[in-house]
Amino acid sequence: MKGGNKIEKKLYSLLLGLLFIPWLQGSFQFMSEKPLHSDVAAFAVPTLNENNWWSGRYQYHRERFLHRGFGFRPGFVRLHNQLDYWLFNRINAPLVVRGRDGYLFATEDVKTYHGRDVIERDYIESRLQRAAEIRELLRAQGKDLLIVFAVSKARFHPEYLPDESGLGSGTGNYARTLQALHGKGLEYIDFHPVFTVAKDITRCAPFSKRGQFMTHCGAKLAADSLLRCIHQMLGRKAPDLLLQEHGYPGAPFEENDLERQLNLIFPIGEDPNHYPTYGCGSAHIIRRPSVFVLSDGSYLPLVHIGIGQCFDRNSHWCFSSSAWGSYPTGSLKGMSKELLARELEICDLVVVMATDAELSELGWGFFEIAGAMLESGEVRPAEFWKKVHALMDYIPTDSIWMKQIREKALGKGISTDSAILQDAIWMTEQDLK
Amino acid sequence: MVINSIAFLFYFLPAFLLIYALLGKPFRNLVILSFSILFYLWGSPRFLLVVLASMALVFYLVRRMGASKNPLHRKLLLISSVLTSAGLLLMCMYTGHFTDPVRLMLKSAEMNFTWWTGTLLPLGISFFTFDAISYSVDVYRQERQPMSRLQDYMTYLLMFPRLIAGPILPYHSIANPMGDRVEEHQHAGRMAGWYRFVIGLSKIALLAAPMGNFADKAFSSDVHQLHSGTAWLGMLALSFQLYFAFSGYSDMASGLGRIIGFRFPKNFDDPYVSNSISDFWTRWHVSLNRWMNHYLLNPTDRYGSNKWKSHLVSGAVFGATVLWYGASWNLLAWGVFIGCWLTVEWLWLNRLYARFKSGVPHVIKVLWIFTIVAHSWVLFRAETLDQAQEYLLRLWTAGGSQAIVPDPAFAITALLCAAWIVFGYNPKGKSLKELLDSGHFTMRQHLIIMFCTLVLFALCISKISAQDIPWLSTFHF
Repeated sequence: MKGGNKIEKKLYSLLLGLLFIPWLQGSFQFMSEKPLHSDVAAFAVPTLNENNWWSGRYQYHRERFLHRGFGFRPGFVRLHNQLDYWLFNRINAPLVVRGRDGYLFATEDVKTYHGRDVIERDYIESRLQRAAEIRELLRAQGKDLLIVFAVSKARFHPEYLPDESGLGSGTGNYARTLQALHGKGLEYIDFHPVFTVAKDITRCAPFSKRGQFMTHCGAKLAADSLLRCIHQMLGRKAPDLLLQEHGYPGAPFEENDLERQLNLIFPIGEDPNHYPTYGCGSAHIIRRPSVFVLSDGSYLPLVHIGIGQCFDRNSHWCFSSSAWGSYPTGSLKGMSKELLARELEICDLVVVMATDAELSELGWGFFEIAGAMLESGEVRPAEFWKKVHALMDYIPTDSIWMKQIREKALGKGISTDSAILQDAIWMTEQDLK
Repeated sequence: MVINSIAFLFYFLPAFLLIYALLGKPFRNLVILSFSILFYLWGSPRFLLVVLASMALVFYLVRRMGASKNPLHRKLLLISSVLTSAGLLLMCMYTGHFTDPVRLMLKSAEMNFTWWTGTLLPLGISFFTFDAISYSVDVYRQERQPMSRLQDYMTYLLMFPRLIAGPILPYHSIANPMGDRVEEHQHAGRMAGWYRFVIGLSKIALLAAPMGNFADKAFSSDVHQLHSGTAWLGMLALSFQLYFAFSGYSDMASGLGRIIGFRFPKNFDDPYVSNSISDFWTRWHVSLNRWMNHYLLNPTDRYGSNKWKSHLVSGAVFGATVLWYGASWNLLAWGVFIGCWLTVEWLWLNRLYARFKSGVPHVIKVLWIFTIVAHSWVLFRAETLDQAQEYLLRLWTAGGSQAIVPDPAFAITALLCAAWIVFGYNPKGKSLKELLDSGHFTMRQHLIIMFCTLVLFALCISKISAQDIPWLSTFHF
């Protein structure tokens, strides 16, 4: 071929250049890449030393590191997933199951719906018994406990579940827990009946095809029910979430979290939904409740639509017994007891909320740890905090005290607000001695 | 490091190719050797010194042999060098067979000093041992001169592209390019090498890996309960896995060899379109069979005048070939199985075929031979003889409670595998192979093939990167 050698030389040079690109990208990140969802972080590589080298440990881990960390890996993985999806109708996400009519479900939800992770009745009984005892302890301090059964998508849309054999929906943890609640003296709210009624009448879908948790509409429905229940429990008027504005162009929070786990190149589709904004009405209400929520991801949509505006303080601790997307995992066991004590001291109501799949872990250790703290007196009474808050309101009006506080804050390297809080707590403790 | 891993494809390989291209001709063998030692140090560091020492000793012995005129002296040096090379291989492969009973005895007596009884297998030892023997024999037969530099000898034996799965390179086939490969080392050859490399990678990543995954599921399940349909699918998957993995690795090695100016011999010559077992045997792992024929059969063919003796010698060579694959009882059973069919074919089947006036249709023969070979792979793959026996029984017993439903990709991949095999045998497929092998392309052909290989490469990388670790054939030699 005339001039062929030149062309071949150019092609070969091009090829060599192409082979270097992933290395360069991995090292210098010269182009931004959309990271993969639910991807395991790059593996740690052991130190390069004689032992690690001769045993092959270093090489093994280094290879795994390079395998995870080369440039444009997310793009290649997405290409693989997209081709599998198009050609073989296969999804490569272990935590996601494809149902009928393009509906996606979380694997755990489906498993729970089919009653394949049932827990012993005795275990449920003992846990709820402990919850009832804790409610009594909380009530002694003027607080209360509410258990919320959030709706799982699998229970809401069983008609779209994939064909699977199971024990049926009546034998799972949801039914068992609900049954065991009777006669325990526990307050609870179950969203299932509310959602079941709404299913036939609302035009706005409470669950999207491609997400695990509630949509904007579903969250509004749940928030209304929850707020009404809180009003009744605390015996005081709390504000409602009111429609402020129609017409967001898209969801204010992502309703396609399951789809994102698939790591595809092209989206599966769009869900026609409405995305109004809400605000909290009833400005005349003097004191809004402080609510401490422990939940799985099911409470997040409520937070996104602004339920926090209806509370004086809304602290939300989110747990999941299984690794799921960006949500935290685990239980209360590893968390600071001081933080938990603080939350318990300042709240009016503790809400424990879970979908079916998380019922086996209901409370995520709260009933055990908080129970022990309440019994041992580690949680200070509400009166204490009333005084602290009163002092915190007073301190900024006292210029001399504020001057001292600013100096203290500067010296300790903390914020002025933290210094005010510290002083208020110290003063209250001295008063009560 | 396997050559279908990300670490190799995007780190080791580009670095090697760049340095190889940048440095001048005098340093090229040194670059290959340096990277080969690095490759070895990476994959099998504990054995490098032993391997290098054995190579240095053989190099020294053969050089002395090349310089010697005394036939007895030459013979003694030949025996010493062959024993040095083969001894290491035999020790590594078969030590376990002799030490296993001792280890069990010591363990049962709760004695912990059993470390010395473990079986060791340095990377690529089966391949470079045979190369080293060929080096000794070729110099002894005065077919080629010994190499003058130890560095070149080590480059020849340790060349990284073929350390994982061959092919075996007899010295006479590579002696010239080792010293001077100016003509070969042109850009056309490089591009042809790249095309072959990608074809090999595609065979492994796109065909062998999915087939291997299904075969692994079938063989790791409870064989006693295995559904017969699943057993057949598992056997089919295994047959495709073995061929596409071995030939894929060989193609990748040949492609890399071509990029750096070597032309490695073909290692798999469409074995699944063989019309007899003997035909299959000559097409499967061609470089091993050629080696056996060249170095074992030739010196003994003086028995050729006696038909039975000749067959006995062929049988012995066949046995040696089987032993090359490994030291387990399963592999021995596999060899006996193939050997029995070879005997049946020689004694009766060929005569039976001859009775049909118009001959047995080729397709029937091919399918028949494929079925026999597929059955033999069950022996090759099973963990134990019991498992193999049970699996073979499940193939021919209807029912079984444990059925594995293949995923949607299985059928399509299996069809692609079959299509690839048929296309390779088709005249058009053959001419395409010849074109790819020749390295003479028009500009249009270059652009088309380059585009296709880049697409294939991207698909392979997407497949590899979606796995936790790179898929590796479970068979090592």
